[in-house]
Amino acid sequence: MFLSGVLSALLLPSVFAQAPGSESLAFFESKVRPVLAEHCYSCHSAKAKTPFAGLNVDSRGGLLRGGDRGPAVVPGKPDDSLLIQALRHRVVQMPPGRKLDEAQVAALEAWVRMGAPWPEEKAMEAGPVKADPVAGARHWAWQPLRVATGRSIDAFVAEGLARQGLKASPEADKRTLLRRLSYDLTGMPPTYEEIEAFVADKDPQAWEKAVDRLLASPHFGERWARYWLDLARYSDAGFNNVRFPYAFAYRDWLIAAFNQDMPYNLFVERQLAADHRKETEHLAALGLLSLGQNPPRATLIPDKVDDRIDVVSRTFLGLTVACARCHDHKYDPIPTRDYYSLYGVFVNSQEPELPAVVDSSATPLDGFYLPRLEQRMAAIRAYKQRRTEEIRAELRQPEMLKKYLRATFDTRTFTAPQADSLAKERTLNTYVLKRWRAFLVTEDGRQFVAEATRDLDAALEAWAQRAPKEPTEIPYEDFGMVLTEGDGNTVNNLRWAWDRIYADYAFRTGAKRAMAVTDAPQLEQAHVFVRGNMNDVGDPVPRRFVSLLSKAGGEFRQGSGRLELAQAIVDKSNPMTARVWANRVWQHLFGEGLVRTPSDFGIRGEAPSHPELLDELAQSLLADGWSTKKLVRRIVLSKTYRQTSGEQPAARLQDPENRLLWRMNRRRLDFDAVRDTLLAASGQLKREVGGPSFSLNAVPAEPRRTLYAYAERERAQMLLKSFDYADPEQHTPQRHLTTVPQQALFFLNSAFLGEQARHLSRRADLRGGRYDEAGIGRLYRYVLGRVPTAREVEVGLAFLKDRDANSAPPEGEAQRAAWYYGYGTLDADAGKVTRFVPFRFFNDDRWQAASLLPDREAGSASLTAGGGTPGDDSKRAVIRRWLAPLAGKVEVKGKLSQGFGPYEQRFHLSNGIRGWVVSSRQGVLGKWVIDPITKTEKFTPNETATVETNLEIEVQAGEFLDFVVDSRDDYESDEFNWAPQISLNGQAWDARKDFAGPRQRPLTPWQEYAQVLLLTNEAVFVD
Amino acid sequence: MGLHLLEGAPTSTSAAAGPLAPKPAPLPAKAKRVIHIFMNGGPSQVDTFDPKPALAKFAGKALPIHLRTERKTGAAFPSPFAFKPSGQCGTEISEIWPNVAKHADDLCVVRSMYTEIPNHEPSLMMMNCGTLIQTRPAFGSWITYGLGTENQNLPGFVVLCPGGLPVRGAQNWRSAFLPGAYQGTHIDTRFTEVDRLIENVRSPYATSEVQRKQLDLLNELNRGHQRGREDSPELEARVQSFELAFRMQMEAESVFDIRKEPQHVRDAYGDTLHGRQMLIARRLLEKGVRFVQVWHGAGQPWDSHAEIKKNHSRLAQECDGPIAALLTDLKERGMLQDTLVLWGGEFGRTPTVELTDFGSNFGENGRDHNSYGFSIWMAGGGVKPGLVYGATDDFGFRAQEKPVHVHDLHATMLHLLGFDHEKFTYRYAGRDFRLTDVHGHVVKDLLA
Repeated sequence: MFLSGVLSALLLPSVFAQAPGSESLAFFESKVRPVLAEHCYSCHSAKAKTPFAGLNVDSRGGLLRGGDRGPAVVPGKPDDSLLIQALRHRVVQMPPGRKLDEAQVAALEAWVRMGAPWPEEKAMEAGPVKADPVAGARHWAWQPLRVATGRSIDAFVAEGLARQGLKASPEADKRTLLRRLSYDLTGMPPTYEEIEAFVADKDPQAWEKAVDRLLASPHFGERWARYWLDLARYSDAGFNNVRFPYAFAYRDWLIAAFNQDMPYNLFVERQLAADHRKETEHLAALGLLSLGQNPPRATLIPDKVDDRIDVVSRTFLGLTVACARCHDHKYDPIPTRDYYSLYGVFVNSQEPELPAVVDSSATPLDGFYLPRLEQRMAAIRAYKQRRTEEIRAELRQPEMLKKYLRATFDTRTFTAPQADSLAKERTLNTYVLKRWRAFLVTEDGRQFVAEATRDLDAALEAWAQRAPKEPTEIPYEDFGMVLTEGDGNTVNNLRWAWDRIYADYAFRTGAKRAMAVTDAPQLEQAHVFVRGNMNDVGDPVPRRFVSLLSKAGGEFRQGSGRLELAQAIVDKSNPMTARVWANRVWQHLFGEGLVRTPSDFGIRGEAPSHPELLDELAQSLLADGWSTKKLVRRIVLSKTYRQTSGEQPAARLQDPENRLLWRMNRRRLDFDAVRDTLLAASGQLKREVGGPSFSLNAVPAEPRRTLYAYAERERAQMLLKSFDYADPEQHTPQRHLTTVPQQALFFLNSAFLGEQARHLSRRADLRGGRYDEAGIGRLYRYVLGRVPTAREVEVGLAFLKDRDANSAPPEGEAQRAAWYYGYGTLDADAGKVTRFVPFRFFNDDRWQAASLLPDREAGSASLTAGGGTPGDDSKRAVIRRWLAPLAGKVEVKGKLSQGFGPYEQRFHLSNGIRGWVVSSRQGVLGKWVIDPITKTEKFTPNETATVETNLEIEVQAGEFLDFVVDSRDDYESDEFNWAPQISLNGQAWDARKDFAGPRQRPLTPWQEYAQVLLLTNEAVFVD
Repeated sequence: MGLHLLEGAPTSTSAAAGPLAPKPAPLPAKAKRVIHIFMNGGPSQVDTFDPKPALAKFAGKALPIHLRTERKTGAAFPSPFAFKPSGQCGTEISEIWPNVAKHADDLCVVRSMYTEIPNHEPSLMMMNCGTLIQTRPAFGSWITYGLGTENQNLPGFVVLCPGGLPVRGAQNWRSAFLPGAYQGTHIDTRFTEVDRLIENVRSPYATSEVQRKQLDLLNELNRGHQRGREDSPELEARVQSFELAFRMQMEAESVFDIRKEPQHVRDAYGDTLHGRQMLIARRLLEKGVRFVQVWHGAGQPWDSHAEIKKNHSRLAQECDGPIAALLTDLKERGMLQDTLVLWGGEFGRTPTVELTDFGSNFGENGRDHNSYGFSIWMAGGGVKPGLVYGATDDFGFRAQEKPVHVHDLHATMLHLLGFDHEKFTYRYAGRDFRLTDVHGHVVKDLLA
């Protein structure tokens, strides 16, 4: 090895007598190789089918050897190097049709002068480390499953322990066991009563009964769906914070799938290909694909597809296929071609314009929403239609015709990528030029080329007069290929405005549709992108499964191939799928998987602690018809699961990480379980399963289970982040729980904890208002599911006594607030507000009817300090109510205004608003209308329409003044400003300054004590 | 040598060594902390730090070179601003930076920056996370992961942005696959009350005396629970985290309270939004926060597609004084030498005028995005002061002389902070990830 290294160094040309310095190699890598790769490789590299002129420029050898015209590089002599001459357009002109930048040519010249240093070839070809084919083939994870033995889980574990002279721990007490099991199966604590009943149950089948009861609980599906949502990088909103209208339908589908114990193979298949099976009721499963990254630019499609490949390969297969995007996988036997085989599958899977219908029954809101949505969609189509026609006309202008004809002629011998680069160089549209190049192969085209070869200018003149129609007849569907930046923004903005209304409809009417995907109408052939560069198109690759796990051939033939992909994933000959899922199930029950890299079973992943056990579990999963519940049941019935989490000092010394499972792992609850536990303790937890998302940020808290919390990619919430919640941007195989003070701040100071402490203290009501053992006992039962010890009662009473003696008397009810916020009905004929519903939630400095807008009933109605948004119609007007505390002359000053941006103006997105001041005693005191500003010019700045709303009236004490705004039956783009100021007898009120959310009052000593119990380690750790 | 953390491996965090405990850099370092003054939206180089007199010759006419950017641009558009040589070094700086120009001898101006796509979203991702689109950790997250932070009572990576969120929101300071503790903490500096600055930092329920009593009770109950569970350090870690949080409330309260500063310091920064936010930034750095990013504002304020003269003057006027005050202040406190200051946007702007077009530009006399060339400057933290590095072409369109990619900038900054950017990795999804992906070279000429 050493000798051959020395020899080869000696045989190298003189400039290489010394290995090139890192400086010169750095120069090569930064300034030379990228230029060669970008501009030359498509024709002159080993990857090109037949290198043009026999020249390869992707290796030093290739350049020295040269092509048909001789060596391309003479090290040290740029003037004698054909490469440099060609780039200078002296001998031949390269790249064809255009010249590189002077800086780039200068860099190549300098490099040749340096002696053309090139890093050692081998290291180059495959990156720093080459996957070792022998080790790769032998890797445990892709071996077939071992034959099922029928041995118990405990036998496998005992064997591992015995080898190290260790023993399992004894069985935990029943209390501990039920608490462990409840969290693992449902994510919620058992109630005190459930624990007592279980402890009292002397039936030898008591444990089985508890297991079966919890497996049958509807909350089982919720807990396990949440695990899956982490894998599926679930988000309610995508790019630009625009909601996926039916993301929640995917979540609901997952919950139902787990609750019904859908066989895992079908569970996989439906998430990849429910549309292929025409299973309407399962279309929501495709959310796995549709709820991913969705950047709205064609150039970012490879990244969007990459997201799909990554999620699918890691979730189902434990394979990190996305590593093979730019080069073959460095460790696992996954060639780049495999990556692009899957690329072909997902690039041909698209989201349809409208989510797929699952339930076509009518809803009461259809009449309000559907015509409006249709009308808006028609406007988008009309815009595209009109612009397509205008663009066609532009392309028929003689000057344009000549430009494209000239480019057509100049690229007549070019490959497609070469033609694309020339188009970019001349700021022509690549797609349009492609259409023109199709003209070359026609009879007329050949005639044109013949004429142009004789006299180009004359031919252009002549053919501009009789140019063929076809190239410029851009079909409407291809609008996306020719639109301008302004068109793109306009269409995106209109579409987002549409999406917002559509999401409102979805959130208010439930999961009637699904974020499905369908196959592209015309399938696109996938190619390898050399080094991941979409502009460097390599060999075509068929759509098929990763070669490592597939039989020979196996090209997908049905559309995008998603169904065949799913079938290959769950094919019994593929050992990965069952292993990966069995390991995840184990992980959720023990805190760690048998393989602790649950989404990477590759060579760089961790080997299983119990390989035979893992295979046995995978085999039992298959034997049980892919039943997840049966697998869970099998595991939790084992003695291994039922061990204590207690200490064994000797075992810990030998196996500190408990890989051999000499005890159960002590675990901390994740954020979902923590929050659900607090709500359960306070008695607030709502147990309804499913539905659209709620907001975690609202005050008061919406007491739904945490898995229904709204998640969005662009506004990661610090609270969730600080609790190591799954990032909605990426597949999260396991939450790595850290301990940071922000978590403690949440427990100490958040509105949520304050509320729960109050609810809990009320629930454990102090009878007779005295602190006593009984009250403390109630708190312990609610929070910890047990009775307190004598010592605990003692310290509790001491705390309460001390706090009682030293706490200030409870703050007196502050002066009654003057302002109320709500929505309701204005009966304009009767001059009365006939209904006023106070807003319940405060979120993001806004009072509203639901924690997350829209509210089912009130829609988007909401009020801010300076204004608000009206609801659907006059029955859902927003009302800012002021209560006169005394009689006298009132002066009201204010300005009602609405802003109109360019899109609102040009596309009539708002029909304006109306405002009233209505007295509870005197009826309507004033009415104002804001009509929309509409303009169609190109240059349309933001404009605001304003009216003054000044009044002077006499009021009596207790009289209301209502500031009412309605939407004129169309609430879109109706955000308004109206912050009246009121003066009465020298007192002043200001809607803006007085605006505030719910007040947080100090806790009483009893509530302070209740809060402390909610903060204990015992409440958030599971033995 | 990289700081490996095996995916899926248990991340035990004992009380003593939490995820943010300070760690020494693997290599000798000149800089200990970073402040990134981020001109989001993209300042125009030919109007700020890259004078191009040649544009005047082509005023109103097509330039000999034309590069395609996001939107259509037309004729050459000379800067409406005058440049003058500043400091001993004579670096030419636009008149819109009268106060920053006084620090010319501290600045290391790079005029040959470039990035890849002339759109905000990918360029923001590139500048902040070293990637165009994919989910990767932010620079600040990498640094707090690598170095921890000096003050356990404050977040290690703080993002100041007044008025709400910038484009791409929290994706700009995400920890991505790094643990959540390394995520940037966003603070909306439009507010002045501390409890609106940091979530849950102040109790609406209890005084600190009451809270102390609650914690004493909590500790007592937890001690009971810990009996027989002494082998679980995570129980003690949680106990300690409450103590830490208790102290953090006071520390945070005080660090954001700029009234604690002497009047002359407050006057130097100015009683404006930007003055206050820059002063808070300095206080955070001084208290040991590892990485502070100061954004100009919500959305993309520097995105002057129209009326460059009016908009760029206003924007520079807002932050010129505060930035200059920060440089003076850091210097006076002896902090500039080990604080790396970075000023710049996600890209630059075209030297050509942008054309009015519905949907893309509703105004006039502005410039489009430019990924081919732009300027940034650094100061302190081991960079060569008084330097102008690299150059764009005659018109300021494209980086021509010694081009510096954003990856190169990151590699250089990491070098100053004591990391080899090729070895500073994190194992995730089967790969060892780097801030600079597979790119980047340390620009040695920028080092002092």
